[in-house]
Amino acid sequence: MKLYTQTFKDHKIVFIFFLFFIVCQALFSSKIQYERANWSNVPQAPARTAYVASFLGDETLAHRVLGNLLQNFGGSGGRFVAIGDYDMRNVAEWLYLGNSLDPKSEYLPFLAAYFFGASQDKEKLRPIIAYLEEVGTSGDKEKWRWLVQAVILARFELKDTDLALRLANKLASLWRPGMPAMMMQMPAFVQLGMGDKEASYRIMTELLREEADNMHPNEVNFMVDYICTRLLTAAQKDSDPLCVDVP
Amino acid sequence: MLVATVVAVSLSVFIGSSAVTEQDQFVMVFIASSLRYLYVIGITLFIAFYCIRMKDTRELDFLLTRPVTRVQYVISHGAVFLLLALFFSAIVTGFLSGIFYKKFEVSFLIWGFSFFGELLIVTYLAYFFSMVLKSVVTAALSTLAFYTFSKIIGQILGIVHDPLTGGDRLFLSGMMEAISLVVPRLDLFTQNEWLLYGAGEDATQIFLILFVQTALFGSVLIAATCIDLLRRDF
Repeated sequence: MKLYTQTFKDHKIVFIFFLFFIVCQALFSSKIQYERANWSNVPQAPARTAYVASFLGDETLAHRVLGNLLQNFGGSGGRFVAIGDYDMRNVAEWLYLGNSLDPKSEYLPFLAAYFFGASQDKEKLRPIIAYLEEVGTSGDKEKWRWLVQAVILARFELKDTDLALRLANKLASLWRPGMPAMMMQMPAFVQLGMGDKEASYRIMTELLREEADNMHPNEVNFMVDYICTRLLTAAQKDSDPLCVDVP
Repeated sequence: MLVATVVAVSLSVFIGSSAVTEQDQFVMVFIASSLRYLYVIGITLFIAFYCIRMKDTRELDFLLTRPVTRVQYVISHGAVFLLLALFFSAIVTGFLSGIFYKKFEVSFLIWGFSFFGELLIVTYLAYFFSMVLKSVVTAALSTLAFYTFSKIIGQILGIVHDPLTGGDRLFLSGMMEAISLVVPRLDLFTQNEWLLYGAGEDATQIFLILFVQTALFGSVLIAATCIDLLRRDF
């Protein structure tokens, strides 16, 4: 304490200088405490090589950090940005980059389908749907489920039935024995949504004709019920031999 | 180091738990990566400070007046540092295996062995640079720079071997290939996908590569340290 008192007496001007600027700093800080850096929307994704190099070649870590980044874009530091305001083309670039780093992970397709798929601006969903299509057709087991999400987004969110039908046909082409029959039924569901009952009827009856022996009995019952109660009129139902046992 | 380990694990759990799905995988990757970098930096600084202090306080000179040859001195320190690397890698592997005991597989042990190999190479690197250089800062920075280069050498070789990117730069490509002959492939070590998805059918081949790389480059570094100490006048 004695040392400070002596120092103050010998160098008053320095202490006054220090006090003055610390007070100015405090006042300035109080004025700008609500300022935030601007968020200029989702940036372009970096090149794969450069991105992986920044993690010293650890692709798995790079994938997880990218996922964390994507999940929190625009939503950190007290800031909230509507998903509809995101630049979805750049978001899709990040999704493709992340997918290439760890194709086995379901995290990014989940984020695309359920998080970015909730965009208030439905037209911006096209890049997300394209990404889900690519993941869904990548051939890895169970990845076809993301193609189902793409069909749902196209059909019910974007309301682009032509796109939905194209994706549904792609989904049907991925079916192999042992996989859910829903994959092959999807084009029929979409056709019904488009109002084309005849096309839907043709798909369902052909499925029953060719694959009924490979399906679970409940699945067959569902398809018969679907045909008789949703695709056929009352008169058609009475005359169709398929609907004999359907009340 | 213990406090830093607890902080790293806690932060990893906190950040990983915020993911909308696959929280376990996030936490596992963040713990493995953060502890890996923490222990690499920690052991580098420890070795650098230890060796430089030995030289500054003339303890090294005193020890060499004892009936211990210079080669014996280096090899005995190498053995101790090997045990140190084994101890730290066992801690981290034990941590991961304990936290994720439900997902434990042989690939955890392969990852643990690869972490031991990585730590051992870094330890011997730090030992070599500390004996050769005079300052702790330069020794530590040289070790970490070499470590970083060893981690990205795989990426560089990928660029060099790709006809689209490396085809028309023959001199640079040749130079990088020549340099890669004396740089350990640390990018093949501690791959986090072994923890997430297992090592697959190549587990034996992976183990062999890790073992041979660790043994070869570790021996190179110990020999280089011996040569430097032998040619030094006290």
